[in-house]
Amino acid sequence: MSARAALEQRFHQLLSANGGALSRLAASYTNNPSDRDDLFQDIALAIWKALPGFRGESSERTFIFRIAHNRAITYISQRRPSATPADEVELPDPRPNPEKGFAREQQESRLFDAIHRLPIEYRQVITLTLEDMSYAEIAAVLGIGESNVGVRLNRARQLLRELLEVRQ
Amino acid sequence: MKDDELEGWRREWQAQPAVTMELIRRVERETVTMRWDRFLLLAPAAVALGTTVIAALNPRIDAIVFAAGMWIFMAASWRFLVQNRKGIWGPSSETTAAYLELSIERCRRKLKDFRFGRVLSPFITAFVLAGVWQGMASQGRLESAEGYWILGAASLFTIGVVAFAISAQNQKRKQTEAELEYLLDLQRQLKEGGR
Repeated sequence: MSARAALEQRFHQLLSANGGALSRLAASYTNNPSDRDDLFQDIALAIWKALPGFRGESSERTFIFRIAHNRAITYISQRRPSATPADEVELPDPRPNPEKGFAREQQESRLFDAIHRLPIEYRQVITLTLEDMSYAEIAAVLGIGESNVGVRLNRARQLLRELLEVRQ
Repeated sequence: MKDDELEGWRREWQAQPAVTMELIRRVERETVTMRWDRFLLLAPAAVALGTTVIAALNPRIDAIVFAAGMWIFMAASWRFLVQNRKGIWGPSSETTAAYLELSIERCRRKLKDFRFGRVLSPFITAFVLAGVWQGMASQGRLESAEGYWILGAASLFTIGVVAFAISAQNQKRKQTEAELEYLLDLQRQLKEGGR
């Protein structure tokens, strides 16, 4: 097998193994399905571009998630002026909504909506945690200290809980 | 308690549907757009048909020339469109490199589309304005200053619309050029990585 074919195969394997997680990551940055697809594609192409330069300094998973987050940040900074500041999280209207059912889909959508409302620094930490990443991996992906990951995760969980409770 | 909470969220989060290879979907989306492009020519075809009906009902030489001219422009556009879509309906193989190659080729063809439009639109505009002028003159509507004012205003409006359309196309052309550059760079990286 030529080096090029091997690279292609590696790229496909990476996307097959992490496609779902990357897709969820893209969805956490944008509500619009077509924007999500565009962002996912941007991420995939950025990984592909960076893959030949990967020398195994970190795990492949950390490597691709770091690229994905960088791409996503660039993407949203081009689309809107700034992310919601941490102290300006808008809580939804607490009044009951008669149209809301109890289906599983809506439950998932509720969690997704709540995550999407989190300020970006908390959203990043919680989404990576929900993808089964350790503190060390999250710290490597986001370029912050592990203690900082813990602080952000606690705050993210607290905010997420509040958002989900208010929405019930 | 807290870990149960996190586990519950994790299950819900990971239950979201995954998206597979998006490059393939992008190519698929572009293919659908390309199919719709064919229908874009239906509007000029309707205009050409309209001029033919007018020429048939009122068989004057200027009406016949105008209808014939519209059909010539239509035929030229169709021919270009068909030629320019040859070989870019699908990838040559199911590999990432083939999909990338297809996206690059589609960008190049899109740039050809822009060039063709830029060359053709002044000719069509001039031809239509000449047709309107001739039509008004033959009906005796250019014997007063008012007729000239109407013709002048209509001409300015038409030229303005065409200029606006060309400017909008220029913006799209720049985006396509940037996209092409990015894709070519990506292809270069891939080749270098494959050495």
